[in-house]
Amino acid sequence: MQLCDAGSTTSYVSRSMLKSTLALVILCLSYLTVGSQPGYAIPAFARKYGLPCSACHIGWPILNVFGQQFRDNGYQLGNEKDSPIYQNPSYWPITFRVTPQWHLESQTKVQIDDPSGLTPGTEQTVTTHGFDLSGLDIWTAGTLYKNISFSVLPSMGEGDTFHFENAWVRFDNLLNSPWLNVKVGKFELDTLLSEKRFLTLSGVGGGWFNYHFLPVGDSNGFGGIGDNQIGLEISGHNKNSYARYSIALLSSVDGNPGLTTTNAGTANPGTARTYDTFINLNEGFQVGGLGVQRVGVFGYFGQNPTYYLSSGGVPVEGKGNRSFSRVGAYGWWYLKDLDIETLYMHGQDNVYLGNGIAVNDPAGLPPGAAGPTWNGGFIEAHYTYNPQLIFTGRYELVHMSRQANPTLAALPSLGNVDSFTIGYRWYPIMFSRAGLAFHNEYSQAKTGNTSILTQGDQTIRSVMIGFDFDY
Amino acid sequence: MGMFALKWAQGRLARAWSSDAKNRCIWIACLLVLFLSIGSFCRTRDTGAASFSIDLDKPFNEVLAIVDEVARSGSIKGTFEYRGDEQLGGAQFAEKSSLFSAWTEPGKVFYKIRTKALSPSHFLNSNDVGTVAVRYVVQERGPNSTRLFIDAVFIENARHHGHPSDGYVETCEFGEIGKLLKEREQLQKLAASGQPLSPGQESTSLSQERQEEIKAEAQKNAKPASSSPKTPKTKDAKPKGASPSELPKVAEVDSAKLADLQRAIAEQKSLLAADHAALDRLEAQRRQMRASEFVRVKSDRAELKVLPYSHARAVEALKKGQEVTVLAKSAHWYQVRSEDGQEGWISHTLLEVQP
Repeated sequence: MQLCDAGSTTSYVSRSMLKSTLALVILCLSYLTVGSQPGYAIPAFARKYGLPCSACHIGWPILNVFGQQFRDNGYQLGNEKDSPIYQNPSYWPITFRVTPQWHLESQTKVQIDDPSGLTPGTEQTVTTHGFDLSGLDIWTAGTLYKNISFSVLPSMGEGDTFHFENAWVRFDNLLNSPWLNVKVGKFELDTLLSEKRFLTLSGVGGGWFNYHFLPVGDSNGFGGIGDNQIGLEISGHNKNSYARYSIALLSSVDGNPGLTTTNAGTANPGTARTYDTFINLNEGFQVGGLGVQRVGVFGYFGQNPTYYLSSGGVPVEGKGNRSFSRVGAYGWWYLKDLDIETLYMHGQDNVYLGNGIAVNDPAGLPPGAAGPTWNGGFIEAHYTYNPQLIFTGRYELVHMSRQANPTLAALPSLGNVDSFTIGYRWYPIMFSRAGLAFHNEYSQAKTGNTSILTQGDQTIRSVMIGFDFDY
Repeated sequence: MGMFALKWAQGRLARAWSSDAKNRCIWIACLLVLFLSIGSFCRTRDTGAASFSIDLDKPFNEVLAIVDEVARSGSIKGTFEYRGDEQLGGAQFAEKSSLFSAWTEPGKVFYKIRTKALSPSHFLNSNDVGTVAVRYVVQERGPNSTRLFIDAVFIENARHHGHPSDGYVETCEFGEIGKLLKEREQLQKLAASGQPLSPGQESTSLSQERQEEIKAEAQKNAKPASSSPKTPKTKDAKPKGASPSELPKVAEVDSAKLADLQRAIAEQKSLLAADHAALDRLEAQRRQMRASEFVRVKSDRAELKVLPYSHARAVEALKKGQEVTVLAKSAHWYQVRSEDGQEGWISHTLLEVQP
């Protein structure tokens, strides 16, 4: 009975999801067709062309209108400057980025062990601080040939193993049209509001909660749309990149190479066999002298195994795949020097994923179990006083609308996140070959009912003062 | 002490966040957004005021022709998109532009426009793609005096932000005008002296048509000078009442008198020309005195630069309190002449007007 309920819920959700997605796609396609701005050809850009950073960035790393266009065009200008004869033969397109910093991390209501082991312990605030380093990014990108672009970004933290943050090749302007580009490899999902190009870096504020949220107790191995994924992306845009689309077919491995799927926190190489889909559509329009306003919608529809077949005790194939989705809409609003990013996102996981139960063990589901759903969003503002000084502020929340386990309904705000971040970046140096930002940030988030002993709200805070540089 | 302050701040923030003041925070955030928005709009583009002006001892029409030529040259000097370039090509002549506020004062106005310019250099906080516009205003000040204004601005396409030039664009554009004025002057001198133009002299940056026009004009102006003093027609000077035998003597006497008269006329003309030249010089000095602004160096360390650029080569170190004469002005730099006659550029922040 429980299985039937769960199954019907899943199929209903799938059907409604399909309908809403279809409607969304039709709506957006019509919007793209009717509302497209007239395009015009602009000479594209890259630092290797001898252009200043300001050609593409409002302030590093936020892209301006031309920067978005250049990126969409496969890091190509589209004029004679793309020709190798204009390039300095000694030019080596590589950038290192690291952030030496002092930071403070604090969390309230942390369970502290009783040394005697006789009691569960106590709760208290834990604060740590000191000088530190961020991970190191070694990024190279450019063109292999006309209309074949690439990016490789090996990244590592202190003591970590090396990993590819991204590595892809892209075939641009197929059929001589900007509307058809194909990218293969590991890449950032085509989210116009990009976590890779935003201004906050601290432990709490260094990511959008919405892009990585999972309910408490959820076993979904998907790390969120903020994680880079492995797969194939078809994308396109009009000439000024105001109207854009992308559709990606992705391995259900959360960007981990080795056909690795993750369930209940356990990563198992060589077990993947399903695919996810990500769709993004956005449109820009000029509003007087305010700037180019952009709006868009996105949807991620994926699957994740709930258990594995094993051979000799080693998982060999993910099984019992169940669905999940993240859908949302966003806007990027410009009021001259003030730009405001807004996002709304709705997420849902299948009941088995939400409760961390294998499909072949339906009896494990608690009575009244349901697929968890939640809603979230943020508003983030940047004020560019000048290209050397940018202030930023953000308010973000994620609130559960349905808990996976009805017994948890007594804790209605379990897993909820309310967060804000403020900071500024000052760029004493921003040249075509090197940039240095003095970064100051304070970020705070309250997570609902997550303390272990008292089920109270926990508050986490970060203070960060650092020098973010690349060269 | 620092940790205490940090803990106090943390406590305050935590209390503020946990109370109903969350709504207040949202209101404050909204007000902040409003405040910043107002701030954004208050940063209007200042493109109305002229940033470069100079008085030229040239007739209005002559300056007008040269400025027209430069406005149609197709390139904007003193700015570029790609490192290594020296100018911005693809510019178009225009008689109107909405990128500047309307010019209400007297004078002939020209524009040179370059669209789709990518973060051009020498415009303050240049960013993104937009349009570069140069405005030239030529004003007639007197029969041999013309005032020239030059402004340059870059306006972003998306946010319509105005980025004024740092002065270098105007200076380079004026450099081009000055070069053509000198070339024209040399052509006029050569035409006046009747010397043929050498190929090097002919190959100026002016168009062939313009060169022909200038040559024709110069030769037209030069004709009276080359043919003077005018010699009277001898057949009209035939005296009445003389016998045929006396005619040769009379003719000799008349020709001698005529030669004396011609010498006298030539002397008078040369004196008159000298007086005119002296008068012109005095007039020029008077205009210079009127147009000049005497300022004083207010900084302990001030350098006179070759070009209006912080990194330009210094030609002279000026001392605090030293008086200089302003010859021309751009947005941030003054062209001045020091007491020892050295000319160059100096940042206006280093100068003060004499009381």
